[in-house]
Amino acid sequence: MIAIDHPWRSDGQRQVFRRLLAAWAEPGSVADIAPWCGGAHASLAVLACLCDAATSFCDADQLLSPTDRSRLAARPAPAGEAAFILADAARPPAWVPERGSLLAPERGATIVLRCQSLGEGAVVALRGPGIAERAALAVSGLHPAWWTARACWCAYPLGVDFVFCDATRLACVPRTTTVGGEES
Amino acid sequence: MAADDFGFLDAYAVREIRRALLKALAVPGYQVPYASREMPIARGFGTGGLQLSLSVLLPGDRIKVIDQGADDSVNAVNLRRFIVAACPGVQPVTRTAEATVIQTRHRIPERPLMPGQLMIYQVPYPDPLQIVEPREAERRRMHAEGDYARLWVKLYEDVVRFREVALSNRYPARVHGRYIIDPSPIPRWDLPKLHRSAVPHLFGAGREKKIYAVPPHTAVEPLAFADVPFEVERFRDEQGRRRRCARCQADDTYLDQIPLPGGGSRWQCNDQDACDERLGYPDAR
Amino acid sequence: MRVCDLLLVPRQEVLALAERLSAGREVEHLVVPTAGSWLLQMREGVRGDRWYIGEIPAAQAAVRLYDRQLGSCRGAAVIMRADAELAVAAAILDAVARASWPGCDEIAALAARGSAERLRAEGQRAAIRAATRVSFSELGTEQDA
Repeated sequence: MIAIDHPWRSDGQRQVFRRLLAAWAEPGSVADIAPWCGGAHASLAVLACLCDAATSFCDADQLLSPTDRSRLAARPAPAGEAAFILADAARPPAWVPERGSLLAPERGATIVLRCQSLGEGAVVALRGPGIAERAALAVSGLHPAWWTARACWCAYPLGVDFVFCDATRLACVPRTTTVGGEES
Repeated sequence: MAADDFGFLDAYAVREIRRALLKALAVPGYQVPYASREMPIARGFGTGGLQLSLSVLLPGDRIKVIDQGADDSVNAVNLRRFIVAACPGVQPVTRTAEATVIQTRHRIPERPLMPGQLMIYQVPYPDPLQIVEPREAERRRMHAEGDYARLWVKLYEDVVRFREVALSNRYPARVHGRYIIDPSPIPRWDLPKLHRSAVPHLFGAGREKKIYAVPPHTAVEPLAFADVPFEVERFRDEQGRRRRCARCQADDTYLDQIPLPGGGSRWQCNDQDACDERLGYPDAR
Repeated sequence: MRVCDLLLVPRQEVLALAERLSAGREVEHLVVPTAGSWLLQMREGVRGDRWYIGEIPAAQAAVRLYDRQLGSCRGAAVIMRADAELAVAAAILDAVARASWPGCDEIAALAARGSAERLRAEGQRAAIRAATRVSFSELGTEQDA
């Protein structure tokens, strides 16, 4: 009676999470999760493996259908309070996310950014935990305001963690990563 | 009970652990609180590590479970059996080189870890400040403010009284220049392996309901004084020579001292697989 | 009709009825049917610390049914049992019953059986309780023989 497809199936969500975990531990590395997206955007698959009724979510740019939002089951919250935020990378952020507190830095938001393509476009250099020397991340269709906003939001250990998603892939930039400007 | 057909944990438990794991990696060394569920194994017997393993494993993974360097101790065998039963498609292994996920209590394998592997620790006491402050709320404040003065004082008192820091395991270390962690009861010998490691290290304390992590390529510095540097076990004999493993002759591994019936003792590798590997796996042939 | 009394009749009968009433109709899952343990969170009064009083097994489902002639209707269920399939069946029955689609009388009949079962169990429990009732006012007046 229960016929449900990726990205809502628990076996697929396990696969997505393991790749997300690996990409999160090594900022800038790109992981392909296409087999478990079920045709949906990778950003939805990422949210589906993390969200449930115990957390809060803000669809800042109204990117999801009402059914998908309902299936995530997370409490709707304004961008300033949500634990998870989905936003369009092409538009500059018009809000300030939760950055956590010194007593609870884990409350800093996870921001999932839907972008055009990973591995193309402007390249940024990354340094920090998870990166041996230096890593490079190319994101096309990303408004540059995101990097400046991130610099304001992140004051370690407080801050926000980014997950960039194109249609089928993901890459992460957690708050510990130093984004070193564009490479020539 | 569990509803998910893979991994024992139910959908709500596993999502909460996933969220905690990501934040633990984003704030290296910070202890993320989470709701540790009841497990079919008593708290204090590795439920924290077990919950992490069950949350990350996939069909096709190869799991190694060690307890004090051994794959065949009662605890390791029980945990491995449970994991394999709860996770169809996950294969149990004992060789470090073949494992994709390694769940451990008290040791880090001697063999250098390779990218793609995951280390998971069973942690009895997650907080290094526990030895100086009994109240959890106060310890949380101390971590939040980076107020580690009392821990330093304790180490200093050790140096004054014993001429060294009197901690053989659970030696505190600073992660990414900020939080001080209890690296679980691994010997000092293993602590340098956390520094700029090739793999993520995930720590689960089930009874204390905390998860923390050290990402790959992250600075992990044992607390030490400029004039009393951190040192690992030396394993010197009376003449000052480095002892060797009586079995494989290695002189670069962590050794166990095994008392002999007629007095005296024998020294042997603690990491069973490393010892076997050096001997070319004699039992396998 | 108390829809929750459906859970007191044998599980297979609920599943079979839901199967029959959803046959030929499209079932859309509005939430992902999930079973597991829910944590009951409390906030401690003095310091405001959060803690967990315990966990209960639970499952939830919400569906929309589409029928060519009748259009669509919605139903949902949260049950205190870690049984996602049963939650989906209950959600389907909830949808049909609320929309008063054909078959809702069958649901009412099934629920009535559950209600009867509940009343019987409650009566039985009341009888057991009654047998253990102690009248304290009489204790002092009793004389030892």
